[in-house]
Amino acid sequence: MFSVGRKSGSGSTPSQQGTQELADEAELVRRCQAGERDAQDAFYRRFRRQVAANLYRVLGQRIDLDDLVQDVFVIAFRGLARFRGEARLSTWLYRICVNVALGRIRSKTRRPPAVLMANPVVDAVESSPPSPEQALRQQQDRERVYRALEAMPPKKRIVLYLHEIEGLDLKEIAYIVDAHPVTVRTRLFYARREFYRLLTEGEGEGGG
Amino acid sequence: MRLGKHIAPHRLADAVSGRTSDRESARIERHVTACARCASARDRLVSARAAMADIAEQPPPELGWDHIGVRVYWSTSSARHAALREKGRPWWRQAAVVPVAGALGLTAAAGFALTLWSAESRRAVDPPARPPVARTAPAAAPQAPVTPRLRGVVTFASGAVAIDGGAPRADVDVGALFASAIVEGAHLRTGEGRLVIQFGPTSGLALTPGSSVRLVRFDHRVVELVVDEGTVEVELARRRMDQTFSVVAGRHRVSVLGTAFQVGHRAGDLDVECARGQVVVSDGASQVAVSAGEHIQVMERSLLARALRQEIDRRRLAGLERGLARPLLPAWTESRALFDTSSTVELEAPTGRAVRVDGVEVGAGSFALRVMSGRHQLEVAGAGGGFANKAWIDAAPRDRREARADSSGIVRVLPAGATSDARAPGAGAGAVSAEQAAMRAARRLRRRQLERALEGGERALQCMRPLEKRDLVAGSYVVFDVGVNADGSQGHLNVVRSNVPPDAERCLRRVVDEVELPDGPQATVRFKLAF
Repeated sequence: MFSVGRKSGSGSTPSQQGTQELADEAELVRRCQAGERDAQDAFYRRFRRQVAANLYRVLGQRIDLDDLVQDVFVIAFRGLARFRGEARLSTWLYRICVNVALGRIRSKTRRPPAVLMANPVVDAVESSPPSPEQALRQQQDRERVYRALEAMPPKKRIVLYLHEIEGLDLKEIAYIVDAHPVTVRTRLFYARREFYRLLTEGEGEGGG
Repeated sequence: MRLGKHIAPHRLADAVSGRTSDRESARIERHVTACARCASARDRLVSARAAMADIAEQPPPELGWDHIGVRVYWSTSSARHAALREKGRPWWRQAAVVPVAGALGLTAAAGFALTLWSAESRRAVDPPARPPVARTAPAAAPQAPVTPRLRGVVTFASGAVAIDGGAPRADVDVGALFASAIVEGAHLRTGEGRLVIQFGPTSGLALTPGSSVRLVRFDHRVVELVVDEGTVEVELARRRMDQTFSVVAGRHRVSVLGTAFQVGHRAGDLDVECARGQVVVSDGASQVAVSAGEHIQVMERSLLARALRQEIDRRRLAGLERGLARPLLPAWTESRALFDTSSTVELEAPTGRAVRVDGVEVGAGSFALRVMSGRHQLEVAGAGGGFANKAWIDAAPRDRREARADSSGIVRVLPAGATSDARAPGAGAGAVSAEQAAMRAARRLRRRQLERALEGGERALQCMRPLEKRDLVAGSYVVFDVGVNADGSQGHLNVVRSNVPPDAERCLRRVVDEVELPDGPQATVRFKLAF
């Protein structure tokens, strides 16, 4: 079993706590599989923010995010019976998120790209808030990243996102995208070349 | 060419992220200080890396969590969904109140679900053990479990039958019979006839001639049939542990663990044959398990415990496996939707002549049959028993088509909408052939459009990816039955058969479902998506 976890920064994750968490997860899954309404409720409340954050970051926009979060949980509840615990629950959910996001990216009724991410409001407790110019530049940089991502084929985009932005390794990505690590490595190689080329080719700067 | 001298952007990115060796970093640094273009590219990558780190730390936006939760709950709780639909049913049928009732129903549903959700959310910290059935006022306790009723449809009727407990009649109104939903409390009877009811995917029951069966309980959790007289055949899809299915025959109860069996109850004698799976027969004092291929007979006054289980002989077993509770529709959605997507075919054929529909033997002599709308092949055995003559019948949704076979097995399909009075031989033959030609052309056009829309489709291939790894794609197929409306939208979409796993099948169905066609003729197309 492995887990895909972004470094939480909480700092207090001793092994005992990890074991306890695993046991809790297994119990939660068991109760959900038995169709216990309260367990499903707890499941939803426990993972809803994580799911929304995953989708939000992968897609870079919050249009229809409610619907996508709903899709992820519906798929999860229907598929929970098949969850065999070969990965952490959060990883398994991450996998569903990625698939739902892929579906959205591939959807032919793709929404217009970007009103990209709004500036974070909740976490804005930095010691020195950025100046308006800095904030604007950061916003533009984020938009540039997402524009480059959007210009890429969905499979490459996802692999690149997971590796370059989420910092996952090949094995984790392989589990999430349900592909062989070698395939992922090849895909990632081409994706990186394309992505960084797109990033360095700014508007009006053909290079040369 | 100068371009070749520049540092590739992804190598620059590696250098920016510190993923290059010291030597490589120094080389890149030397180049960047001398090359304005690469310096600019590096600056862009530095700011992009910062943005990427920023993205990775983005908190999720605040969403309407409770609202989403309610929607998830409603999507996954099909039982409640169905229960609500059932509740609103009497009003829905009244056209005058549809808009008002619909709006009120939706509002009430949302309100009810929201209340329920928030109430349960509050309790979630310390979930109380809720008494499962202890309820005094059903109306005041909406969260009590509501088991949705089952709704069956007639798929086959021949000879004298009745679904209302009345005396079986051979001149039963086929239209009304096939338009009726079979629900709890129904009393099914057959005289010299056979009646098949389907109530789920590959789940159905059939009454053999001279039978009387009451549906005492008929919901998603509990099904209880009482066989007053005769034989009921049952084909049952796998059930969950909390679902029960039993057939009561006199003092005996046959509970189902498995899938295909028949229970005969004549003059007090019990006769149970199990074709697949396992059933348990009990009489209150003892119980006996009857496994696949076994048969048990209990005389009226004898004890179940002393009854002997016997093996069914091979030929009989093969017959049982083939013919129990058949024919059933290959696709099952929901009875109300099925009424809109299926059609009735009435066939008049010489007594005892075997009849095949789409290559499958479904009965003998005259009968009425429910089919999925689309094109079907009818064959009636000739005097020698062979199937030499075929006829095609096009059945539109909700259509009722009639066909007649003569003594040599030649089938003539009456024009759509024709009544039995208009059966004069040769009447309107020109019109029929013109109509058929137009339908054929429409089908061809729509099939071509569908095939073109799906040609080389990346999405369809995506669906097959899990099979690709096991090298199972070649030879895989799914046959769809698609009703295309004049505006290009899809009226219905059914999977007729396939050899791919359910997940892939569902995925492919979604892909086909998303195909948009241009305006054109209305047609029902059966086409095969093959890999």
